[in-house]
Amino acid sequence: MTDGPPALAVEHVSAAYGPYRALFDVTFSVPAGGITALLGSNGAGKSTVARVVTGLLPSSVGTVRLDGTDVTGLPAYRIARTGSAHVPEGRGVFADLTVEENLKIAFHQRLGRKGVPVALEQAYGAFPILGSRRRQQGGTLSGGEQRILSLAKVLVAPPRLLVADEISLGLAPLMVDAVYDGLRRINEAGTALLIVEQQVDRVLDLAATAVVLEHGAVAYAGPSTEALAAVERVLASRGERVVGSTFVGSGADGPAPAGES
Amino acid sequence: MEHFLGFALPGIPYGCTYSIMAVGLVLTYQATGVFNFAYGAQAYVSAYAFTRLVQDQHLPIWLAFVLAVVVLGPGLGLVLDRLLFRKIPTTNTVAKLVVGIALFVGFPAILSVLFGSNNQYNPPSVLFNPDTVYLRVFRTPINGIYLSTIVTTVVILVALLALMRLTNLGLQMRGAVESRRLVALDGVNAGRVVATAWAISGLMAALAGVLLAPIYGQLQFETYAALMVAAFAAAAWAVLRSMPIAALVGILMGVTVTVLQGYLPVDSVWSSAALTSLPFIVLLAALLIVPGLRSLDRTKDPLSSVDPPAPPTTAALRAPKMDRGIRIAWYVLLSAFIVSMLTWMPKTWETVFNAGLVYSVIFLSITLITGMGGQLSLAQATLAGVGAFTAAQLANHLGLSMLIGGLVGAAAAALVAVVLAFASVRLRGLGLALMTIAAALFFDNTAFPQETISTPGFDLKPTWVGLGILDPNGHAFFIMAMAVLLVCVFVVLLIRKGTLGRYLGAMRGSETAAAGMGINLTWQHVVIFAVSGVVAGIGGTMLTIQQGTANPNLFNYELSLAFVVIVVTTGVRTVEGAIQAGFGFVVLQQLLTYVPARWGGNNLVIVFFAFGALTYAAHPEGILEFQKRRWTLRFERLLFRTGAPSEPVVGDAPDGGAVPSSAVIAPAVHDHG
Amino acid sequence: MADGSPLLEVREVRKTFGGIAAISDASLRVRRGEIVGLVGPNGAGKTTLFNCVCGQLRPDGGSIELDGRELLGMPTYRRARLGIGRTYQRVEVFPDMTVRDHLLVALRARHRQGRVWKDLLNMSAPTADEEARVEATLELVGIADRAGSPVSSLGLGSCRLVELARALVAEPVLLLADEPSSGLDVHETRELAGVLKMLRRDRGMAMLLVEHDLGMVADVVDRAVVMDLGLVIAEGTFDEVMTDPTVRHAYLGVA
Repeated sequence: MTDGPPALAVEHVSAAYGPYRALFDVTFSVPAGGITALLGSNGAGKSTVARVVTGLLPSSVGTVRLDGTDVTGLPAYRIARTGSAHVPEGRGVFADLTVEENLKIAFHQRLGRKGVPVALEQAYGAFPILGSRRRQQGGTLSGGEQRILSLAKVLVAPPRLLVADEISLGLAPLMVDAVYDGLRRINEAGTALLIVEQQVDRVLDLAATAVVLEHGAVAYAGPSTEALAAVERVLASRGERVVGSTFVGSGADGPAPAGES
Repeated sequence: MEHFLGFALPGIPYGCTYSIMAVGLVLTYQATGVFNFAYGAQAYVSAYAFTRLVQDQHLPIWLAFVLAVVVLGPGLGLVLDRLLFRKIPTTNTVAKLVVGIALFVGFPAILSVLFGSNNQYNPPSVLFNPDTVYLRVFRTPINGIYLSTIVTTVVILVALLALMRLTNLGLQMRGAVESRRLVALDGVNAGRVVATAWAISGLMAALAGVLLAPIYGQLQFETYAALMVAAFAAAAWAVLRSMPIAALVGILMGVTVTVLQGYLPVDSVWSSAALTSLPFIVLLAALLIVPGLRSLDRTKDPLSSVDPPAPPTTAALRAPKMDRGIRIAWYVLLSAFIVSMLTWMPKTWETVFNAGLVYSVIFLSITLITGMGGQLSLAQATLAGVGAFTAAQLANHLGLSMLIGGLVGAAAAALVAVVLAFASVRLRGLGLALMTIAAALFFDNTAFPQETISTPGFDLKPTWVGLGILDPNGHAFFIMAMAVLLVCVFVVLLIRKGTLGRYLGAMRGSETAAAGMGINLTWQHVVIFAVSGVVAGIGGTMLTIQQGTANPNLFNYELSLAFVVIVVTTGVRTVEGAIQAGFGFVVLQQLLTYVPARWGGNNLVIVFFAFGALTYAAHPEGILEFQKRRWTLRFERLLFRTGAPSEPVVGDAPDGGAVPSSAVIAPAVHDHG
Repeated sequence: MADGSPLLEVREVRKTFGGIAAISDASLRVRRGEIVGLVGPNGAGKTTLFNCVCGQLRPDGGSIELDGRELLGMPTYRRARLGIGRTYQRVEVFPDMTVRDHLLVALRARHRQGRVWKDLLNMSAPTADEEARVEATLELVGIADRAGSPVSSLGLGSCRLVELARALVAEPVLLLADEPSSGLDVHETRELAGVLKMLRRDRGMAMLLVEHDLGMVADVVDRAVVMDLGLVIAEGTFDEVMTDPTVRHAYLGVA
């Protein structure tokens, strides 16, 4: 961990989609050069936080600071230019553009025209599968390949803060390993990470701090060593239990959840 | 051989006129994601401005050119973007089309209103002197006009290709078309990119307008409308993607026309038919043959889940007490209306309201196909015409009562609609809309003008209208029209609440899932078209009776477009919307007869509704529906002092803070391949 | 009932997209009353295979039989009416409709081809039998409390359950579920697994599941089929398959 202002500071942020409020007074931070996991059950507001941080969704209340600079209310493209990157949930590629064109848009913006050829070579070197598919349209790639493409954009031109939303969703275990490897590498080079995940133990392995959301509010924010306990507490309050990251076994661990037949 | 070349070569510059428009259309689609119906209108506006500035204001040609093309062209494009198209989410295909159609319909009308309807003659030429012969190819003279068009086409094509394929800006434009948010995450200022795209598109349109104007002795909007149809055809063959193909097809069309005209006897009906029909035949062929057109406008913006969910319709929001109150109010209004019409209503207004009833029926057919079927049909006036002419001819030749004839006409219209449905079975959205336009043009150009179908302007004899007492001048017509409208309303409501309505709702939601559930998409598609055809046909017959004449001008494609614009303004999903459209249309026309205008205030009416339709971007439920919702909710609060607030509640989302719309567009882990 | 006779028979199916072989040779079988898990890395061809079975894609070769009946050439809606239920990788719900309406439409589409004149005679209101079946399915899947809500107001987990209920209400003989637990949290996944096991036990429903959640797969399936790069590379019980060296290398990335 390096000194300096936190890579990301979210302070008392509330946000809504039209009339539906999704975040209530959320406060947490990602230390400079650090890794923070953002956890919570489905619908807890994790993606909403990611969107507010990168400017896709305006917050109605509160401040967002990147590296100490106040970016609240700035449009997404400006926030991106200050050095943050967002790998969104779901398909984050342009289906009608080729793999190469997808990369070019990002590289041209971040590195300028001169930097594009070098960056492309780096991307294809790090991810040969993209090289072999470079003229293919983004929409014809499989889900995992699309995720790799999104990742290549940010790994080759590392931002100061990377927000990764459910990056391992739907990926085979082999790919997830590759992805987390890449994340570890850019963090070592100085990028701070905010990783939104449902697969808790993978990300807690990597992250030093964790934030647990429940119903749009922060239920826990602190070292990741205690995050698992926090998640269990949250689920217990609903009468549930969690074992590891994925569901294993049928009711053999502790009290059966309400509603199971 | 020389003969052939003698016919073919002039076809090249002629075809270039098509190519210029087609290339611009494709560029606009690639750079902005909008199939810009109004492109021809933009061209016309600049041509008009240019000609007026030179001829009336006596500005030097270069200055007029700069103002009309370099300033007005991009300026207009920027205005369209900023005020209209930017508000439409990328995924809303119907809104994009409707706004374009509204502009197409509204621009000439508003110019007419503002500047009078006098046509301009002999627009000046910018590049080459039109009369000088510059060279000869195979003994065919190439004069200034030819040279202008060819040079323009080549320059535009090369420049735009370079823009889209070679520059980073072109790449950013294509990315922004797919998803403005995703491109913003890469640090690109999507707003500026899209604005630039519209400015460039506007510039191209203006350039096309001004450079093409001197070819035609008289500057009129219809010329550009006709060019647009050819542009649609060429662009369709290019799958709205390849500018060189669009240019090539345009040239081929031009050559085909001149060659045909060369070999066919000069005065034959085929000669002039070739000219007018070729574009839509080419369009039709493209829609039937080219597979890429089936998936136009299908990409989903992966980040659209950030948008708030669509607002519910007014009906869904009303408290039950209010609901009953409104229903009672409708019945009271209805009774008052019926009583008034039968007693004290002055003749003029009785005629107006009768027309209102008739148009309401026609508009109900739009509610069926667009509101329930979810597809934009731009041939509803045509279908009405089919019904009308069938009934009229049966009355004319067989002395059949028009009531019976009307039913036969409805069946004929249904038949045409079914053919249309089958022809378009794999098309949706934009492709389907284009198919319906092709059909409308077909009827306008080939079928309706035939003497056997519509001896233009023949007047109906009262005896044709059945029992003889159903004379449009008596109360009996009103009773019949009222009865027919009520039956149609009843039918539409039953269908909507019934199985067909549910199936159509499922299809609108997700065709994949609907088919996966066991719904036969083709059959539903055909059925709703057929029902819509029946209603339109009935309306057409009634219109003929009410107007006293069966005239193709009542059923041409411009009216099909205007009808859609009108109904969309008042609300295309509800029966109320259709009726409000029908009455609004005729009442406005009547009220505006006091304003001097070309034919009975029609232009102003069009302008009014066009403006209304432009609001479709922000209020897809219909601007009227939106206002109704606001006022209903306010009223409710006032009357009942209930908790129903005037604005939507800022509270928790129903599923405990769950993001509503992200549920519908879930993480798209697309395991493809 | 679950008698172990083959229900779905996929033989040597091939599918190419513009030069890329999405599936080069896939064969598998699902017997009555059994749950088969289809796993594999991304790009293996699993969803493509589903689409071939359901009719959204036409394979370039091979055959697909349901209960001995060749499906190729049959349009999607007819296969659905034969008794194939499907849920989708990307949730495909109908935004305008309530949960209950989803099920009602699904029920009608399977059993009753709506005639327009029935609508006109106003015989289209839900019958008592239809309502009973819808309620029963809502209870079964556990979303009865949300029955009247429009789906646009529900979270992802609920929407997946609605999709499942929609597929189940028509009582399919074969359920094809594409990543049904994707995006669901631990609690919801557990519920889902319970429902699937109950359906197998009480109704003898056969299922083919594409899944990445190996824990759920281990718990629920009778057999697993592993695909990679368009080929079936292993087949057997879950444990057999997960200890197969080819699978461990391709999918799990371990030696």
